[in-house]
Amino acid sequence: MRSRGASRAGAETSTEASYDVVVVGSGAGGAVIASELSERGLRVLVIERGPWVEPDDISHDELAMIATLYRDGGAQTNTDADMFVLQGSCVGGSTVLTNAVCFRMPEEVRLRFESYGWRLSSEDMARCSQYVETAMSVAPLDERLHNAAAQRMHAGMQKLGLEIGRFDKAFDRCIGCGYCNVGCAFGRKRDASTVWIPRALAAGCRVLPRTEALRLQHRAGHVEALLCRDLETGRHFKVSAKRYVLAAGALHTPELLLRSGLGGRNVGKRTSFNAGAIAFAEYEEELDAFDGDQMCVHYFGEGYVIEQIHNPPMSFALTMPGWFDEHHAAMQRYRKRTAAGVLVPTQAVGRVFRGLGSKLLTRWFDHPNLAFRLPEEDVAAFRRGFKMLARVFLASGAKLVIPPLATFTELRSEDELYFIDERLQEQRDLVGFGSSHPQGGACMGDDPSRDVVAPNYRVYDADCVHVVDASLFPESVRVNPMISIMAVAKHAAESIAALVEASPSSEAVTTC
Amino acid sequence: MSLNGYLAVAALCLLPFSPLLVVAAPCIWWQRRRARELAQRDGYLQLDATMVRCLEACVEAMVRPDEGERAERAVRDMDRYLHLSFSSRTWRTKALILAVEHAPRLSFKPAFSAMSRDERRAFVDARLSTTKGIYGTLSLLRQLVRLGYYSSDEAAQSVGFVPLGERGAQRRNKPSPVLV
Repeated sequence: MRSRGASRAGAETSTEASYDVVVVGSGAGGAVIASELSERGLRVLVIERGPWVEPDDISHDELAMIATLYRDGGAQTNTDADMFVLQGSCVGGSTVLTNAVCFRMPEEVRLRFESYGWRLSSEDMARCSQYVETAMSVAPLDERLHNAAAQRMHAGMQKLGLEIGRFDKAFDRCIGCGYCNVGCAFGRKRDASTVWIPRALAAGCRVLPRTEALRLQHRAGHVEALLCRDLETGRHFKVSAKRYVLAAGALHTPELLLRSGLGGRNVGKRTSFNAGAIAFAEYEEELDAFDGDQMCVHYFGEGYVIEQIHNPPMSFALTMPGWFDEHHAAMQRYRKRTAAGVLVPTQAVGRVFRGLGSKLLTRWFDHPNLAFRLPEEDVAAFRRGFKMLARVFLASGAKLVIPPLATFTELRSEDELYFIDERLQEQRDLVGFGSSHPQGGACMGDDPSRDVVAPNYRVYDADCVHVVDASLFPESVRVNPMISIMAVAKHAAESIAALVEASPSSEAVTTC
Repeated sequence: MSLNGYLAVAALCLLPFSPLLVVAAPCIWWQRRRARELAQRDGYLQLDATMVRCLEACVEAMVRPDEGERAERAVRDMDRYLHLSFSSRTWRTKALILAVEHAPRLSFKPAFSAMSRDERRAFVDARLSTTKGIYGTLSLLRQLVRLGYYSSDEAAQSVGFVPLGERGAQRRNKPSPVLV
């Protein structure tokens, strides 16, 4: 895959042309905006750091897929190295690697965003969400795809009288192989690379995979060009456009602004996550939960979400607590075990920054630094979540539950739930703690002294740079954010298209 | 303190020994180059011979003590992972491997790969099985070891995993890849 991307149809290596819009990133935000703007007749170029992958390139070799499709091979961490941040690095971005879970932005979250000055009305949000859901073929998950563990958890939730949630998913005749997180080898998942990028290409958009956006070159906020590097050849080049849309994700969009000296002193601040960790349960009989969809049921609790998930062996081993023979013996009971995650929408206390290393020794520190520590309030939400999850597992007939605690713990009855309170006091007490849903860092709002991006998606101190991805979110969106990002991108496309179309044609080459 | 902070402190600690390091540099360079050549001869793309020895010892200590051949295959898979991942953090992973290999020397013990199995286990138990402090960062190695060990088809099938193509009878009423 490494050597192929740049020669794919629709890609080009020549950079002589200028564009109406250059989009950095091809994930949930970038792909939608590229498609929408291209279909309005604008000349659009998409810059993507990762390779171009198609179903034929994807296999069930977890190791190779994680190494190739995830940013930093799935080893992207915070500066303390006790939190993994999983992000896709391929055409289609993280949407290629999701479980195709589709939630609309909750109305109470939209109202919170409105209080920051967002101009996204309830009607606009509903209209944009409907539009992207139709394109993505979102539908309730076929119950035939539910794995055996999901059926058990369903029974457990029912026994406890909890409101059981079923996922809406963006699938096209899924066969339930259980390998969603390494891309779909059968082309049955609807994601940015299979829905929006083909639409953009059909409308004349160009995509440059394996190309890194290095810096926006500007004079006092007037951007003249985007400096890029071809990762295959190492060649540096510039592209120019009327407008630049940053959609590289909640870590890399703020980093690009920081590198470019744009966005002011608030760039990188107020990073939040839907952060989580995975607990395990063991049953008397073999469930073979690997057969079926990985994620089937969920439950919304007080400040947390429980999402059932069952991973293939390698990912299962990576997240399961325990050491030595204990871990090895537990893996031998893989067929009897299953898992579920507790997801907590964290407070916006994270910070993306460029460390001394990334300024002085870019060859070795060429990545954004992330400082993040769970506040006590969020740790308490994890405690509540894992206690509820343990109750669900036990009610569903599990003989033991293993919460993801650094101090290895097995729970056999509800009387032992106090171990979770005792042993979960801070972030480092969680094993396999991480997030696939980073948000914030270039927050949108109507206060230039607090926010980075104005309510029309334009960076306050740069007149032709826009941000359209999860880094806009001033708080965690609280649910899997793919549809929220796509809907926001659809809304942003309408206002950005109007701005580009209003620009005189003489501005088309290098000026804004 | 952050991982990069620890690296910076380590560099500062070495500063007083810099004259010694200047003298030793050619020997270290020659040793690293020799280790790299040895590993390349065996088909490794990213790891050098010291790292290979250390990771094999890690597999034996952390996962399963009695499977030499499988340990070697696990290390080859770790090498494949490092080779495929397009990351500016790869050097850091390699530095962590070398840190684990040489960490026991700080307490006047042999290198990690030269220790007996029981000594290795005691070292891992005391130092690496934590998520706190500097050894917490070294425990990232645990993930690499598990990733290498459980990535092969053989390891997957040994835990009872059935690949999609062989699930026929047990798929109950799920849609078939052929029919849909």
